[in-house]
Amino acid sequence: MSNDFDDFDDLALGNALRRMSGSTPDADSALGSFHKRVRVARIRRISVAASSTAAVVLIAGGAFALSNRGSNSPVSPADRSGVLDTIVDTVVDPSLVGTPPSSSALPAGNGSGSGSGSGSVAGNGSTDDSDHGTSGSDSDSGGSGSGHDSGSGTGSSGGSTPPGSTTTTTDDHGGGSDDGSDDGESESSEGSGSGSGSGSGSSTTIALVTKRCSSTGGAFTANRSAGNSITNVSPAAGFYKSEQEIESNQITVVFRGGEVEYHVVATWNGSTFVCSVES
Amino acid sequence: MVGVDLKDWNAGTLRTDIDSYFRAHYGRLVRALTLVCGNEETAADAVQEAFVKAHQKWRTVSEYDDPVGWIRRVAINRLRDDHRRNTRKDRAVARLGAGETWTVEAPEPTQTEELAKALADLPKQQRLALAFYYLEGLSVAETASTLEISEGAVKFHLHQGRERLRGLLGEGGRP
Repeated sequence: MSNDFDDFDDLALGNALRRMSGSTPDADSALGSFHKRVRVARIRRISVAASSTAAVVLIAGGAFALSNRGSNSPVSPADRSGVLDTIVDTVVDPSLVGTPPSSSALPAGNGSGSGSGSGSVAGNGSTDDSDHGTSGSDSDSGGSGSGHDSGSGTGSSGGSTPPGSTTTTTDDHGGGSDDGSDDGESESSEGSGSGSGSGSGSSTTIALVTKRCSSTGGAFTANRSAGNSITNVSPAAGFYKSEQEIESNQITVVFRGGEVEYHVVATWNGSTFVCSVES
Repeated sequence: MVGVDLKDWNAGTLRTDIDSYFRAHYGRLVRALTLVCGNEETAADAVQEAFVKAHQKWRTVSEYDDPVGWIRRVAINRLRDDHRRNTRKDRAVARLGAGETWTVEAPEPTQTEELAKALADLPKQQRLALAFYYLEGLSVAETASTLEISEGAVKFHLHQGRERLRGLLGEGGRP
């Protein structure tokens, strides 16, 4: 105790206050309770940190999933009467898609070939100008270099893509000259030419997008490659396929059973099929 | 004050360290704060919470000049928080129970109870100053540092508090 100011020394008051404050608590028993509190506080801190981390991961995952939802739009809630299940699955055959979509300059691989444009066709034997669903519509008038994938020649692309799995179409639109043994179109990824021309070409990879649409009346798989087609048509028990209509952006299959008809429609939205059913 | 070599310590010494601080100061702190808040359990709770906080950041706290002073201040703040919370709760209860009057016939208070009541009627800062000066045995300067007020203010509070309680202590100085 270090009382520097004796003015306030008051023994009577000190004793009275000591009496009022009660007896001194047992520090040893309180120590056990203190350690318990320390443990609880530590557990609480850890659980808060863990749940915060989990929340951050969850939010990041959700944001990532939302950002990747673009191409796979959900089923349009058309007329759902009589619909048991509309979409079974969406399949993009990996053996038929060689490169990721919308790449204008692909990484150089085994192939060679350079154009005067901004892009260059060189890679693992496949290029893709647009989304994997579209096919053959790409063209780039050469010379200016503003087009994407304007290059010449398919090059000697002995890449890792399985032979025959990718259809690469190269169209030259003048402006350049192919010095290599470029055929302009090669069916496989094992082209042997060495393209070094300065012309501008356009190459397109045709990918296959499939989607299975099903209803109470039956199911079919809509395919989109060079065009629309259907496979694996399987009417449900008591139903049969009465009609089918394949248009440029829509496939309609009618399953009939007695007096009930189900019109299963697969509509191409630019990147995938959207199934709907009308009864 | 417990002297501990802080330069060479690990988890084991941390525990020993804070345990020794706890043993040395817990009782006096609880008694001082009991005088302030009038409830031993509340005081013990505040002091233990302060020690838990000190344990969480002991590496920092142990390097202060007066770690116990830090713990004391944290305990006081905790008491203040409790007081505010209870005041809000009491107001809400009073609003809900407006109109109802409860009359309890209290027994004749003893002199100690009168003193306790007088103490409870003192401003909190005066109670704190009295408790730390007379019970914890802090100097005026240490009390001022703990309460984060000037020494002159501590002297004022001690003077005022003693004047108000002296009447109840009687001429003989004993309640």
